[in-house]
Amino acid sequence: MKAIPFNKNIVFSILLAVIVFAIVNRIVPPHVSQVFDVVISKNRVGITDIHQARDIEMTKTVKIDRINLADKSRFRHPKLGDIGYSGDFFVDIDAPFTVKKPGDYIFFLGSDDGFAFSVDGKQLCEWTHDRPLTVDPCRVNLTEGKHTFKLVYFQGYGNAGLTMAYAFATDGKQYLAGDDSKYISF
Amino acid sequence: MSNKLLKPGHPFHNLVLKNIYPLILLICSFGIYFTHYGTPNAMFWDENYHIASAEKHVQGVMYMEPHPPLGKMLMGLAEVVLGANDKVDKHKFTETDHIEGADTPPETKFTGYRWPSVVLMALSVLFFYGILRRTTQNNLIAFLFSSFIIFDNAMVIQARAAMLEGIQIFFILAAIYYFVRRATSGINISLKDYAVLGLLIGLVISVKVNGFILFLLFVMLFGIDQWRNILALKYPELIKRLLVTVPVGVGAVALVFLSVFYVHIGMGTKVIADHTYKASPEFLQAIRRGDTWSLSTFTIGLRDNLKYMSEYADGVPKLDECKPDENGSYAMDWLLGKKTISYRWDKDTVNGKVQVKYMSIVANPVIWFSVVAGIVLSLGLIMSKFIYGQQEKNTALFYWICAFTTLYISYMLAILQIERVMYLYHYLVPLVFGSINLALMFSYIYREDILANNKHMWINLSVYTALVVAVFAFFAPFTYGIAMTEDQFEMRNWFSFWKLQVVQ
Repeated sequence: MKAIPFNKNIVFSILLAVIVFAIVNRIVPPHVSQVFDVVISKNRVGITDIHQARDIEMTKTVKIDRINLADKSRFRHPKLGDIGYSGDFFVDIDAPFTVKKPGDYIFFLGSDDGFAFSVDGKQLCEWTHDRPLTVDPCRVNLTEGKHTFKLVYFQGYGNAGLTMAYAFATDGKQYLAGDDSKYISF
Repeated sequence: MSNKLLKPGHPFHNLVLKNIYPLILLICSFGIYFTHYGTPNAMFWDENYHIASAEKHVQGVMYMEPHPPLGKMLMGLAEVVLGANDKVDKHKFTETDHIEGADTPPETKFTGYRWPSVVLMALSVLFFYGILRRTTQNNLIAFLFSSFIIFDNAMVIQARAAMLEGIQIFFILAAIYYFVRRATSGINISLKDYAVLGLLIGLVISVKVNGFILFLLFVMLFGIDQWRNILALKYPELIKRLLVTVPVGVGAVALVFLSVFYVHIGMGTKVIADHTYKASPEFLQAIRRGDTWSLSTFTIGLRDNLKYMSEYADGVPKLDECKPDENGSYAMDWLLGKKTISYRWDKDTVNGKVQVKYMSIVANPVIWFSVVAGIVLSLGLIMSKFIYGQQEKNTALFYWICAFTTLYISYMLAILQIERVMYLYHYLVPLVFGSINLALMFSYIYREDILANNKHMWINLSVYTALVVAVFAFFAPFTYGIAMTEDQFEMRNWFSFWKLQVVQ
């Protein structure tokens, strides 16, 4: 029986390649599909109410795949990390979506602190001031075809977070905003 | 310049080859260790203790400490010579053993106190290179593996501070270099060699007592000195030689150790009220009499100092991993870099984003993990010879591997006997032994390729060295206190067992 040739240099090369791959994989910045434009605006003064007059110091736009921004009790994307500011900022998300099946839908808005949610210009629900992360269901009847939603959120100080999910009322199964289903696509 | 001069074999070519590697290493080493070593312009970790002690030397104040005084004496000397704080009122440094922020005038600079550690550590690379060059018999191998002593994040942060490790590692490498030089010179070992080795080991122990591990070098030197008599089991000759070499070697160690204490005790001419360190009444009386340099005062002072060191060690708490702010760690955890210590951090908000300057002791994982792999491989090699009877392929390299594996294992076994809490930086000494061992192990495994000048092997080793440097640079924000966002921090938080703690 022939012995398997063992080349120490090839083994070392493979080992180095594995190490380099592991390191690169660990440190390359994460990338997600760009479904929503999230406009984040830092306010100069403290925010206590979603409708208070804005005094914007700076603004940035971050593209995200899903509205699931409550990682580690912060305004934080699970992959992209901390995308907000340290405190006192507004977030605006204006996005189109397509309803594939007409009927009653429930949008689940989780926020810490306040939010206001509207579809096709009609406000469905809101929480105007600060609170711990709490989910509010907002019911709406939607026709088949294109619609737009607008989600406004603010973070004052302390813990933060914003989530949005939806469900077809009679089905009940929840999908994160950004995840396409047989009912809605983004 | 004539091309002839650069041809292999020409004396000028050999001269360039001999000196170019150490020169490059020295430039890199000073670049890494010396650049902006005055930052942060604030004390961190044990600097608060060591600077208090060093300043007592400067102002002639008696003190006692858990560590022997040589490291602090050098810090005090550099502080006086550099004179960075000549116009600063530092009297409060002498009234405490742990300097607080309120005791420190804002204009205080730390470049003087840090200078010995920074410069000696930067110079250490020459000894490291010399050790590898003599043991592996290959300049390029020695050059590439010398990157370990320059580009380890833990060593750099520790040595760029007024702490003891940088100073001690310099003396450790000096002692090992002397030992290796004598062992490889082919000249008979003389009593002078035991004495010089003893003087160097004495310097190591006079900085920190964990340097006692280097007594093993005496055993090894004796083994080389008396190899033929050992093989022939000539006990009378061996005992005869022991009766001479032990007093010479140990005497040299004692001479340095006692001399350092003599100067330390002699310089302590003032006693600060309420800071008598349990000094005996007769010692205090002698100081107040101004009789600090007499032999009788030295005897009493040495006794009191050693007693204080012993009692202090007994009073240090044990490791309590359940304590949420525990900085200590179990010795066997150090091998993989557990656990990091946050020495200090400064938080700032820039453009609405929180940025933190961390000063944390973090391992260069490529170096640390490789050192563990090297120890595992060398233990396997040693077992293959002594248990399975395999013939080693290069006897000299094999015994060097045995020597440095023994130093590493012995240090770890000794540390495991200590009950008091210990910290990650206590691993830096065995890390030096393990780094040398890894270079030897590599030379042993790839002996044929090195002799054949195999390009594949050299490319591999160059990529590996580049990886060491790149990973050092990646973790450098923890080492130099470069501001990072939380995401940048998380990018570097590779292992949860490191227990790096983010500042939010």
